[in-house]
Amino acid sequence: MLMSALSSPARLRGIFAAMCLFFGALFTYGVSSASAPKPAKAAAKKEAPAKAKASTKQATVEAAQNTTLPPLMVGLYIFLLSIFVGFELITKVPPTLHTPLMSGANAISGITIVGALYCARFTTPTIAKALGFVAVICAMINIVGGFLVTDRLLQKFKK
Amino acid sequence: MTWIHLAYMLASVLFIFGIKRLATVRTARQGNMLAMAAMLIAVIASLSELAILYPQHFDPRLILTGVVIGSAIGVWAGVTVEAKAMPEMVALLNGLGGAASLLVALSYFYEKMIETAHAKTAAAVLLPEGAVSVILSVLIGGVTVTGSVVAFGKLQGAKWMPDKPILLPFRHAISGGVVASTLLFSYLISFQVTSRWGLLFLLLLVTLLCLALGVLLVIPIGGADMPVVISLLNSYSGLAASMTGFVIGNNLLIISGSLVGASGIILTMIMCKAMNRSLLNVLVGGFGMEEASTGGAKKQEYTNVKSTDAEELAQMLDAVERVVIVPGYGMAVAQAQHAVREMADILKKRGVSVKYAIHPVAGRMPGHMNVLLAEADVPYDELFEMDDINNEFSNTDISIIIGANDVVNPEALDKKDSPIYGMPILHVHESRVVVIIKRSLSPGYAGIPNPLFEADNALMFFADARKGIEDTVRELKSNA
Repeated sequence: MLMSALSSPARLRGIFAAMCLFFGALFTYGVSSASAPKPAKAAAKKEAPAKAKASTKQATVEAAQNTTLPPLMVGLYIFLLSIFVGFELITKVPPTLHTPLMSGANAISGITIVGALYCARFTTPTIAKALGFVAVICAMINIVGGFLVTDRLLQKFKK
Repeated sequence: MTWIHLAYMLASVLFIFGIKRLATVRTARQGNMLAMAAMLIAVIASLSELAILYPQHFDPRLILTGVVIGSAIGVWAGVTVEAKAMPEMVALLNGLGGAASLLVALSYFYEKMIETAHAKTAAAVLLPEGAVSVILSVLIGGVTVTGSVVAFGKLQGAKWMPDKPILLPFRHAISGGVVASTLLFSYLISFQVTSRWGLLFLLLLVTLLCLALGVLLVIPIGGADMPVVISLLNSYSGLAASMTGFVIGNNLLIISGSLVGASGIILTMIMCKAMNRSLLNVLVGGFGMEEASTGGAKKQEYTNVKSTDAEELAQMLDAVERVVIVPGYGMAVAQAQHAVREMADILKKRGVSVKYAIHPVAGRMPGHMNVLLAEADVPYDELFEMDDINNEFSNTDISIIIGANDVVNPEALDKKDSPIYGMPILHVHESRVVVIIKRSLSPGYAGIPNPLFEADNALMFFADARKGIEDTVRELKSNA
C-alpha cells in the first residue's frame, strides 16, 4: 500500500507533511506534559499563593497535572490538522469519480456511529437511550447503504 | 485501553488512505474497501471501549438490535436502488448521517442535563466547550437532515418539492432571523438556564429552528445545483460527526469527521469551478429565475429551427466516419444509455469511430453520465472529458446531443451578458452536423435560449431520448 502511495509523491508530500505535524504535535504534547518544568512553577505561583510554603510540593504536583493539555486543546489540534489533511487529500479528482467520492465520504461520515453506540450503551428505558437507539439505526443505514452504493458505483469502472 | 486507542489510530489512518485511493480510478474500489475496514475496526474498538469503561452496566442488546435493523435497511437500500436514483440515495443517506449526529447530541444532552437532577447550567456540567459542541452538533446535524431531505425531493422530482427554486418573500430576512434566534437560544441553553423544563423546551426549540433552517437554505436552489448542495451537506455531516467527537471526547470521530468536512468542501469547490460559478452564487439560489421572469418568453422564440427524425438520422449515420455522442440529463431521465450503446455498437461494427464527450456538470451529479454509461457497459476508454475532446469537434461528422442543453450552449463563449458566460462548454457547434435529441425547445436549467438550436448545422430531433435512439437503431438495422 505504501509503495503505490509513494508512486505519486507530489500529492502525498502534503499529506505526509500534515501527518508529521499531526504526530509531531501529539509527541510534543506528550513530552511537554511529562517534563513541563516551567509552566508548572508559574502555575504553582498563581494558584497557591495563600497556602504558600506548607504545600509547595503538593502544589507543584497539582500544577504539573494541570499543564497536561486539556482534551479540548488536543481535540482542536487534531481537528485543525485533519482538516489540512482533508484539503490535501483531494486536489485533482477526475469528474468521473466525484459522485463515488462524495458517496464514499458520506459513508465515512457515518463514523458518528461511535457516538451513537455510546448513547445506546445501556439497555434502560429512558428517552436518552431511545434517541441513541434511533441514532444507531440511522448511522448504520448511512454506513452500510453508503458503502454499498459507493461500491456499486465503482464496480462499473472495473474493466 | 492502549490497544483501543491504537485501533482508533489505525482506523483514522485507513480512512485517510481510503479517501486518498477513492480519488483515483484505478484504486477507487480498494479505497472504499479500506474505508469499510476502518469503519469495522472503529465499531469493534468502540464496543470494546464501552465494555471496559462500564463493566457493570454495559449491555449491548439495544446496540445490537439497532445495528441489525440499520444494516438490514442499509443493505436493502444499497442493493435495490437503481443506478438512475443513486444521486437521490446519496442525498438521503447523507441526511441520515446528519440525523445520527443530531440524535447523538440530543441524547447526550438529555442524559446529562435532563435525566440527571441538578440545578446547574450546561456550561457548569458539561464544561463550556462541551455545551458548545453539543449545540453545534445539533445545529449542523439539524441543517444537514432537512437540507438533505429537500435535496432528495428536488432530485427525485417529487410532487412535494418542485425542482424549481422556491423564492420566499424576504427570504434573507427570514433566514437571518432564524439564525439569530438559534444563536440566542443556544446561548441561553449553554450558559443561563438551569431548570430542566426550561432546558428541554429550549432544546426542542433550537432543534426545530435548525431543521427549519435546513429547509430555508435549500429550497431557493434549483434542482441542477443539487450536486453542489449535497456535496456541501456531506461536508456538514462530516463536521457534525466531528463535533460529536468533541462531545463524547473521541479523537477518531474528530479526525474522520473533519477529513470528510474538508474533502467535501474541496469537492464542492471543484464542482462550482466546473460551472464557472462561485459557491456563494449557488447558495444564494434562484439561478435562472430572473432571466425567465424578465424576458424569457420573448427570447425563447426560435426562427430557424430545422427538425429531423430517426430515418434521416440513420441515413446520415450511414455515411460518416467520426461520431461524438454528448449525453446529458435527458439521457438519464429517459434511461437511454443501453439504447445509446446499442447504436454505438452498430456504428463501431461498420468501422465508425464513436466517442462520448462528458461535460463535468452534465447530469445531476458529477460523473453521473459516466456511471450511467458504465452501467450500459460502454468501455471506459471511449469516454472523453471536455478538455480532451474539445479540439476534435472540428473533425467530427456528426455530434449527437442526447438531452443536454446548457453545456453545449455557445452563448457561454461569446455573449458577455449571458448568465452562463464564461462557463466552459463542449464545442459541438464546430462539428459538421449537430443532431439534438430533445423533447422540445424548452430551455435548460439556466433558463436561457440556446442559439445552437437554430444554427445552420443543427438539426432538432424532437423525441424522448430513449425512444429516439431506439427508433434510430431500428432504422440502422433495417438499412444494413
